Amino acid sequence: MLGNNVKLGSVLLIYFLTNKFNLVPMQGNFTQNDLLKYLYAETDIVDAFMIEQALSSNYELKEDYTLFNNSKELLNEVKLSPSKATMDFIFAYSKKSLNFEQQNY
Amino acid sequence: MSQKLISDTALVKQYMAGENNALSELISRHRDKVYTSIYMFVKEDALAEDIFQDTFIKVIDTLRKGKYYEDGKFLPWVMRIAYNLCIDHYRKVKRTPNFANSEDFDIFNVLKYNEDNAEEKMIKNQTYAKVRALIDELPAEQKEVVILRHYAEMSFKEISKLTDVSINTALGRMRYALINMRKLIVDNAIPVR
Repeated sequence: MLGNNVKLGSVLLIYFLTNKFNLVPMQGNFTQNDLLKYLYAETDIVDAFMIEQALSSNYELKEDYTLFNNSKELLNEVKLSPSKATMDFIFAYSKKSLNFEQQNY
Repeated sequence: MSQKLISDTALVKQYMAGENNALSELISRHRDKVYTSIYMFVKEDALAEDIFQDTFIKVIDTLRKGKYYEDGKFLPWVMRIAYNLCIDHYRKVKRTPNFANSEDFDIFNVLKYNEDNAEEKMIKNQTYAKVRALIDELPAEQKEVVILRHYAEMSFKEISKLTDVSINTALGRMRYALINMRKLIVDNAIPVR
């Protein structure tokens, strides 16, 4: 928790400095793998902030991100559910195993 | 307190203490992700239902025996069980000599892609069907990481452990999968929101 507070403080400090003094945002050398981790929320708070800064000013990076995000959005189109019969079976199995345990306790 | 606000970890503890309703909430939360992942692997409705059922029977048995040790990581644990059951099925029917580590990228093409009426009931629109077909067009390793990351919501680190590759390899496969999907989208003129 202390680590997260330190990181958050760093992010806020960077944001304050870039905005107060019109500093050019640090761009870093972000790879497509970094973008993927950002896309799937696997980056820490500092990296996420840095990538967002870079995306706002790096056209190529933004293009790559858009490509990934569009494909990700399309994957969201597929969403399936199991049948009620299957769900009923599982719940019945669970109830039966619970009853068996209680009887044998 | 509404069970919808309770974490997976807390629900697991409740269930292990004998609260059956906790399991209902757990399964309801994650059923679509687990089922979609299984279905994308096996591409057969009845088989996906069977594997889904077997997955949760194993989950119930493990929890009942008090052998659950994955604190805070319920869904990835369930997905590992489901994934291993999918692999077991393929090994049993000898549809393929290997799963993802094979260099044979057409590993899923040995299966019939059955678009019969039972499946068509689930298909709501043309985009939905094309996306499914898109995913099937991907090489096996890429398809696997897409299913595990996007539908099963496993982290890249968890995927790398499960599929026995480095995290950079898992990321690379996902990267190529999304790029290849983009190419397929353009080639097939699939509308993107």
